[in-house]
Amino acid sequence: MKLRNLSPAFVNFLAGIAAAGAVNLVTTIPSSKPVALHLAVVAVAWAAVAVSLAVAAGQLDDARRQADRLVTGRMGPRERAEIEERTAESVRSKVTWLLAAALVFVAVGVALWLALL
Amino acid sequence: MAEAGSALPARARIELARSVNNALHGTCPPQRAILPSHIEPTDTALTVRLGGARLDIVLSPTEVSLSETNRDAVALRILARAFGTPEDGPLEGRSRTPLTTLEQVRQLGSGTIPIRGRSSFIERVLAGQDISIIGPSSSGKSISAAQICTALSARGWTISWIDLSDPDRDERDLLLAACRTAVGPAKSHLVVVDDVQAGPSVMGRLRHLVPQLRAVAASRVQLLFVGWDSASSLIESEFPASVRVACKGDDVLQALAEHRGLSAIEVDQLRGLSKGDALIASLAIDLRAGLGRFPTIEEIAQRAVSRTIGGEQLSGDAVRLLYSICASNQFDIEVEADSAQALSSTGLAELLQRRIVRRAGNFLAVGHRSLAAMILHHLRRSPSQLPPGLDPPVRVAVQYLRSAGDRQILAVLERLDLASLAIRSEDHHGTAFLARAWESLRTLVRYVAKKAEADVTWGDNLASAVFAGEALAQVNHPGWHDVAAFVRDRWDIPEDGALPSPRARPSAERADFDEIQKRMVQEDREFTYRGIGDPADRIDFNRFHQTWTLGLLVGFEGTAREPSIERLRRLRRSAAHNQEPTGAFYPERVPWVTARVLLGLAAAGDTASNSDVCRRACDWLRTPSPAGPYRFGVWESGTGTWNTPAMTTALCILAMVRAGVSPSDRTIQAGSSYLLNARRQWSAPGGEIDAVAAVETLLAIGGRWREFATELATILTWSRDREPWTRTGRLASDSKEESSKVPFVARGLIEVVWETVKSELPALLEGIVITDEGTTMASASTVAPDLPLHTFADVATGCLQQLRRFIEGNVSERHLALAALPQTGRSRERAGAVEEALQRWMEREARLRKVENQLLEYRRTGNQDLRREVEEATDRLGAECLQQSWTPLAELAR
Repeated sequence: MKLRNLSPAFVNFLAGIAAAGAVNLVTTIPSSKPVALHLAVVAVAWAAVAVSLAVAAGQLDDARRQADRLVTGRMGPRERAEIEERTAESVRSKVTWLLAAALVFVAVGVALWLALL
Repeated sequence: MAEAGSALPARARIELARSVNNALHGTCPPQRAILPSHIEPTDTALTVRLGGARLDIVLSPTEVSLSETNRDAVALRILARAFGTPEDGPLEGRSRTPLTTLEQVRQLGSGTIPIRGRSSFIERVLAGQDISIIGPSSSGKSISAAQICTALSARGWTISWIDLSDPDRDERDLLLAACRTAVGPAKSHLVVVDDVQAGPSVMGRLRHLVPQLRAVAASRVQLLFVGWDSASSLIESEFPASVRVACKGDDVLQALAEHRGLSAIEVDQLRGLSKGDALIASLAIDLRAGLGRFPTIEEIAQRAVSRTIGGEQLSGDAVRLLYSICASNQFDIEVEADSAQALSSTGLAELLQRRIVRRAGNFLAVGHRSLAAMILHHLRRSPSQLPPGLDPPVRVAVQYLRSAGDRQILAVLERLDLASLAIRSEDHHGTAFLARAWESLRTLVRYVAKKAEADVTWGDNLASAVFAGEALAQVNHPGWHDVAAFVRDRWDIPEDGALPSPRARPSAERADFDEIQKRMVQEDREFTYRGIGDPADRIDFNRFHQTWTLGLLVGFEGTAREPSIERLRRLRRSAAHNQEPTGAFYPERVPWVTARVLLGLAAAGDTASNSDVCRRACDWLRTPSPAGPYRFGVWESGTGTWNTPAMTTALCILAMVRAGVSPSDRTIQAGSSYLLNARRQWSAPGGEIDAVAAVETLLAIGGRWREFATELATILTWSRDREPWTRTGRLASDSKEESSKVPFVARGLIEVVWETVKSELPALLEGIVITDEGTTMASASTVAPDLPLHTFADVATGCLQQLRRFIEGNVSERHLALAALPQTGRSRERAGAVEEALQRWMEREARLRKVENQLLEYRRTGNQDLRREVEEATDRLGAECLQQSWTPLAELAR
């Protein structure tokens, strides 16, 4: 998938889901201390997912804004595509790492949660 | 008033009183003067007795010293003070008496056939009514007025004639006339005010002066106004009691036809030939008697010329000079005798000696503008008489006007019938739009002047007063002086280089800065500001206001009609002392403050090449973020939603260009691309400040006004609406916009329209000449089977400039994009769409340059093959660039 087609709004949405999940976990912490600690760790993992995704969305948004500044009404579709692609390229590695980190934290979060069950 | 009277020794006061009394009465004994008046020296002053009133007047030191050399001027000053008129303007130069004398009036009216209905005018004047004679050019207005004057003079009236189209004439000439024109023991005085449309401000002051004059004068004073149709609303507003009489060329035509016994069919033929021009009608009737038929236009021209020049051939120098004089006179532009003398002293001597050209003071004219046009027509149709290599008449007139200066240009534009040009349905070259813009400018100036008259402080708002003053200075309006007095009095400029400070309390626009503070705080809170400088809570808003005001004040003095050298010196010193080490002005966060100070310094003549302060400010404005305010062609305001990026960008670019930075500078090119791309935003309703700043900037860097005609028309319409003017002075906290918005927009508009009209003078004058209705000889002379050389070249130049702007915009956008795009290895494999497009546009730019050179060559040689090449190449380029929007040159030039 081309990075320029990845919508910052969608990534932000996912970050929101993750953050909501983390908050939900935190608010359901039971009285038992070991379980509470475990749940807190799971919540932290989900919070980390949210942060990674939010930062990634910010990077994608910056790239889009830069492209918007450079694209003018007099440019053709090929030029527009090139500008959008090149600005997206500039944040590719950062976004890739952040998305990868988010996936890792998702895996950790899911694993911990399953372990709790 | 100055206490200089007490400085005068007693003997000097007696001498002065004697000299002033002589000036007032001339050779007439006091009891025969129009105004019975006498001046007596007292211990400390001069006492003026006017009628039954007594006024004590203390002379200023200037008046005391001037009384030795220019008594008339001092006499005028004394009377002006007595009647409460403004004392602006130089004292010198008022001693000449170019007022039309009764003898000249008699000559004007003699030999003319009495026009029907004119006797009723005389009855009205005798009954004590003021009259206004309104009509188009050459419709017999001045003849009618002259006939009235002749008739009244025969009844013992004194006549004075003041022509407001002369820029040196105003209401003080009425005072001088009242004092010095005493012909016999006259008890009644008729004052003819000619060319009313040329002096709207004078009419306003006459309205105050005349009732006072009538109250103290021993004789009766009646007024007779003469002006064009466009003057009728002006007369109605200033002298509503005057009776308006419409004058049509047809009246003169009817009178002539009746006198010569023409049939109804012949009258219709005459009407078709002359199209309401009384001079042409008169000549046509004279010729008909000899030819047995109505003459052609060429024959009329021949007759006019032979009557004026006579049978003897003129020398080459005389013909060349006559051509130049007529080229100007056809637009009512009087040529200065000194200029004509410099062109050819022998030619001038010959023309004067043969009475082909008449002298009025230091000005030359052949007579009525129609006569000038006919002589020109005749000369152009007789190439054997005309020396080779002469410029077209419009170009001659424009060159003369531009050398004569803004004042003369203004005076001529006031006289021209631009109103009829404005309502033309077809507008090939935009002249109708320009004429409408000019009419709007006049309305705008009147709004500003009226507002300033009602409240010279603009609600104690220094910014509004400064913008209004700059607007009035642009068009040389005398109302500027009152505004200047307030501006100079309201704020102190310290000697030590400190920032200017308000006297007593801050002026009203300080409240805007409280609103600015709120917006900056909000911006900080929303983390939307990512630029340089301090957060809002650390900014000193008093210092912010003072620094901004520094820019306003230096700009005001720089554009002043009479700049104060001392104030300018102090302001420059203050700018140098208060510039930050980076080159910015406080606060760094707000680039529009630096732009405002830079604009002011540029108006005062400082540029980046002669001023360190300007150079450092320009360098700082161009410094890219994060060290400076520039970012991808945009300058952010730094004040949240107060001032948009478009407005700030426009102001920064304008400041730099005025300070001498080349418009081809990369940052300015990028900024102008941004402005062009953001056009939809700044041209939206409510964005008038942005719009006027953007248009002013884009024109300053070489844009063509035609590209922004729509936006200009919108802003002009907005500014002519009364509603915004009722909101002037409202605080920003109420209106949520700048309190000086209306005067700011007015100033910008007046600047834009005035500069555009000055640069497009050739097109305007050409538009006057080629009229739809009405025929002047000039129009017959310029309608030729092939499009005249200069008209095609001008149209082609306009199109090429439009294309240049378009192509340069495309080139710079792509340059900017390539410069800003990151270079990554992966994307470079497919890179090239932007580069390819850039190459294509640069190739078009090269072709454009070639066509421009060809056009220059065509202008020089008139080679028709070149013309064809230029036309084809321009159309090809235009079709490539603008596709469906492109109109072929041949259609435009039709």
